[in-house]
Amino acid sequence: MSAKKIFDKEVTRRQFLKVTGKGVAGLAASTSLLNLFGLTKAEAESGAVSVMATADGVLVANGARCTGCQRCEVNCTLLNDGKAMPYISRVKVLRNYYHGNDGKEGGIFGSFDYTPDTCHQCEDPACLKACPMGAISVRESDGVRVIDKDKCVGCGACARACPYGMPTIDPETNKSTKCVACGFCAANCPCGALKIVKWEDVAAAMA
Amino acid sequence: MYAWTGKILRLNMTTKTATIEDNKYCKEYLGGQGLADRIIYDEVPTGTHPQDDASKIVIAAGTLCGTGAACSGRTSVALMSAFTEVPTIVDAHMGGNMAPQIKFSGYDAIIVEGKADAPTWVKIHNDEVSFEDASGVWGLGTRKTTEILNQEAGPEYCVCAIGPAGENLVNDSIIVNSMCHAAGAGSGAVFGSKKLKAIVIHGTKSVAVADPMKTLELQQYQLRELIGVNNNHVQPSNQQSWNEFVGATRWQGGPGKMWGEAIGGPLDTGEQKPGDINAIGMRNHTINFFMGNDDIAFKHTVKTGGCYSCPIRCFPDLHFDALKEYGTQYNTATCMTLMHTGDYYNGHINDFVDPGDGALTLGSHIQWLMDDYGVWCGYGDLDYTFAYCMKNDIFKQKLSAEEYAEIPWALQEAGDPQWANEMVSRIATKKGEFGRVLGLGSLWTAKEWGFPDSFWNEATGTYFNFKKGYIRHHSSESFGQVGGLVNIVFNRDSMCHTHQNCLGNGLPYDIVKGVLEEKFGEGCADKTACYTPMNPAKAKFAKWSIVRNNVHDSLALCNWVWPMTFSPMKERGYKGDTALEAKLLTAVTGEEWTEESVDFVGERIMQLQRAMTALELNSKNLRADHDGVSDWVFDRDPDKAAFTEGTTKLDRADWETALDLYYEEWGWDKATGIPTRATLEKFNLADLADKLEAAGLLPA
Amino acid sequence: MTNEKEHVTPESGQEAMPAGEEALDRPAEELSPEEQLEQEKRQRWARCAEAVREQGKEEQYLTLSDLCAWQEMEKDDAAAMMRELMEQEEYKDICVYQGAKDLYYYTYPTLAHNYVKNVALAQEDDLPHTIAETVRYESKIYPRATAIETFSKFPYHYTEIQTRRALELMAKLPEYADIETYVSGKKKTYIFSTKYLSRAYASSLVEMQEDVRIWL
Repeated sequence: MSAKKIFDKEVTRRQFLKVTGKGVAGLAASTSLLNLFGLTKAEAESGAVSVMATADGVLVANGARCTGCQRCEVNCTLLNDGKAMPYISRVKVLRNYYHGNDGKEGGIFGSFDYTPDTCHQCEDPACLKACPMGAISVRESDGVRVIDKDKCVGCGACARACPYGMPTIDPETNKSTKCVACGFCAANCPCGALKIVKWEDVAAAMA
Repeated sequence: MYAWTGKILRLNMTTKTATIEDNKYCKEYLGGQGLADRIIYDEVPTGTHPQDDASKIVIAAGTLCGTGAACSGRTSVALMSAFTEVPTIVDAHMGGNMAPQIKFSGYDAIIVEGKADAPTWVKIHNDEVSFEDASGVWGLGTRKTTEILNQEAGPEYCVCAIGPAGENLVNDSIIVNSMCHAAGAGSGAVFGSKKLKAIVIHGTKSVAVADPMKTLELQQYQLRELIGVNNNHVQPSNQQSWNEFVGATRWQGGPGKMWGEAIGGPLDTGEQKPGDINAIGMRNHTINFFMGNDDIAFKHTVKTGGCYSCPIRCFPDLHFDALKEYGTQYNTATCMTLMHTGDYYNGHINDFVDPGDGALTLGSHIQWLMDDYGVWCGYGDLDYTFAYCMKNDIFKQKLSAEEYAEIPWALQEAGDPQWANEMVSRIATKKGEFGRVLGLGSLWTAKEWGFPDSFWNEATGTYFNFKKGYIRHHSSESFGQVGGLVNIVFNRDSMCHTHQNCLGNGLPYDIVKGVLEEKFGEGCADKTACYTPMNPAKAKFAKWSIVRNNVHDSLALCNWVWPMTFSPMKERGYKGDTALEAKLLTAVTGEEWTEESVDFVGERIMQLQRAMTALELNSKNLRADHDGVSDWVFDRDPDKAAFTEGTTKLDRADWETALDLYYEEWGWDKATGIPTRATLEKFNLADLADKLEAAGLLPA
Repeated sequence: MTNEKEHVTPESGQEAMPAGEEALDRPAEELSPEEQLEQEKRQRWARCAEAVREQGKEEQYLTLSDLCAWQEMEKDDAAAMMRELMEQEEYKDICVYQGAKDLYYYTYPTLAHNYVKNVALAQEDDLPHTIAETVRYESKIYPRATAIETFSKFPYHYTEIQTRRALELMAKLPEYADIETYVSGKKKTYIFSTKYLSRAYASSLVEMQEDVRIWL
């Protein structure tokens, strides 16, 4: 039973990645997926939305709904690190909050346009390839790229290699804190700006 | 140590040095306001004017700040006041991101002392502190200052800045962070007097939490079962499928209520069932609540915003095409100035684009300018004073003919946004008598321009405290004597929402009464405008309101949402959980805290403030010298008697009884309203008792 | 996916099972005629309760009229059947609102009693009755005078002109003698019931509510 479930999930995941390609452009063409993600076509095309494949489903980050409370950041570290430390959060809002993702026109000092940054769980992960210790690997069960804390020496190669600036070295433990797609940020986002849509539902929408 | 950092950062502006010291007051004062008040008492001599060399300002984070607790992003500020008769201890508060960054930098508070010889901004990144040249940003508004300093320091830094008002030592001035989160009470002028343009701070440390899983569990319990919206209104203003009650509440979101200018097109806020954590942030729209008018504020909403770690987004982010030419088209704010457009425009308000959009559009423009120039409205004190001047032709009488002729009144009459630029910039730069006097605060404006006592007495519903220079903040119109008693003890508008949050929350009176009577006893909460004579239960309710307010300002949780007295859930009988603060404090500190033990600290803070106030006023009798109220409180609605249906007027003799019972609850001498030695010693404030005694002010 | 099953804990499942059900859990041909009738009744309950709960998920109720059409029953029989159903422990979430024209079955607390009442009132489309019901309730319970625009919002959606016409009509009818109006300082019309609120009190509550400064 469980084997079949994982198999289904993986198929859906691959199909989904094919539809969305490298961004959300493909998403705008699929009305059923847009409905499922609670997005309008305009939102998907606005640049304020990102989607990412995680273990449980698709993580949708919708800047139109992000109101900058940063609860995702602190929830991430309370759960994963047992302390409150937004700096090492695997979802990042603060850096976009004041002046926008591009640091210019958006943010609360501009047009209010800003979006949480999330790990892309890249098909070809630069973090994994950069790690000299082989501490980053692909988890077999769901394809998520995870960090082996015992192997990690906190050199920061992953953080430098990531084109999206997502992994952060915790200066207090000297370990990298890459996203493990636990979905806790989304489950507790008060505006639904982060949302996990289950693979079962994604499969149905793509059928 | 858990939750606290145990450290305080001292910035000496004279020597441009930063020192890190131990925080010896963690347990005794919790943090935030309690800590800040205590430091002011310890370090600033009684009678020090806020802009004197010896003056200091303390900017403090709360115990729960940074731990992820809901609504824990507020910053408490303590300073001496300039808008009052003599300098007194006052607290000011701001939301935004300042306090969490203080905490993540490794401090519980920042003390600013001394005076720099030239404009300076201070950059703080954890233990690294540098004093930077601010000559390039001196004179600029808070927004441009932030933009420039973020470019210098980094995009993630929180900039807490003053505008021209602070630089020019205007009594009514603010410090402001994150666009619109401002602490008032003249804090801007204290920065300005120290030539401190901004504190720019980003921390990358952790806040240790004793029991992270318990902390998360308590938060989820709160978000699922207890929290409502701003003012803890717990029922929506519209009928959704789940709610039994509909009220005139700040819970404005609901099916068909759209963020009209959302990125990617209008966004329906949808149903917001209790238990659905992902919809909490879609509930609140404070400005739409105030504006009404066919959801005009929703129409101009891009999204909402608010403070760090708060799921209740009480600051709508607004956009107005019509304001583009003034550069104020994007604004975010929650209430106050935005609601007083009519005062500043003497009623001259025209539509911009849609019918009825004038007050909102112009109001947003004024608010934008107030925050940029760093001018404080004093919870409407400036607005009211200005309106009084217009109504009574004061400007014509008091300004020179040349100055009067030079002010472009035609802009005001035309409802032109440029009028607000004229008005706000004059106050911020003390331009002419108009600018200089209006920025002093109502007490000094009244003195300088010779207002009659009727200014205070006849302004029904405005100045509860007689001739004090601060406006009522949920006084006798909120639960009669309870709100009145809450309002008399502070040295500024009371800013206490504990009692107010039980009013207008959408629930029927009988439910509200039931929950409150269980806590305070029979007769504690009268029906609106249907009051009964004073009783001990009301004194308990009033005292607890302040005690819990102090707890919130010290933890620091937002008293505009907390405590969780009520719940939106019918399954709970709409009863909240007032022990949640203590439960959270226990989870984050690993120490046992109870409702009683946190309230004990909240009470200590009031006892400290009260004793400080007696010293500052050099008063042997605060009952007479400090707690006096205006005549309108008893004389409003002349055709109705007190304690009859349809009036909120109080009765003079009953008010004296109210003071007696209230002072008794606090352990204050009945005749003088000053804490007794026994009371002060109970709260480990024997040093205050000694000082009062030495000054001859301690009750016998 | 059988969602309902997941929500039933073993204990509550036991508890919910009515006495004698096990006895009826046999093929129909093995049952006595009385037992067969009992079994049919229980099966109908289950179907009807399921239908009400399904409606609840869509934020809807099930009217007696629709139930009768679907189950091919007479109104009195169906109403009696539902009355009996609602007495059973396992269907204690099923409630009914008795309107003037129909009965409305719904699940609580999925749907609020007042939500159902208000939507039913809107569906019955008797504006004077709706005004009287709503105004009396609000005057008594909150207490407050009801803003006239209440009837222009969900679920009623009448125009203000329609509401004003209804008020004019009501003024002539003795059964609505307690319904009065008050025009505020901001020139807005409010409606209240003198059974529960005096004019003086109702007007002072309105003026306080409209005074924005009180609520800032």
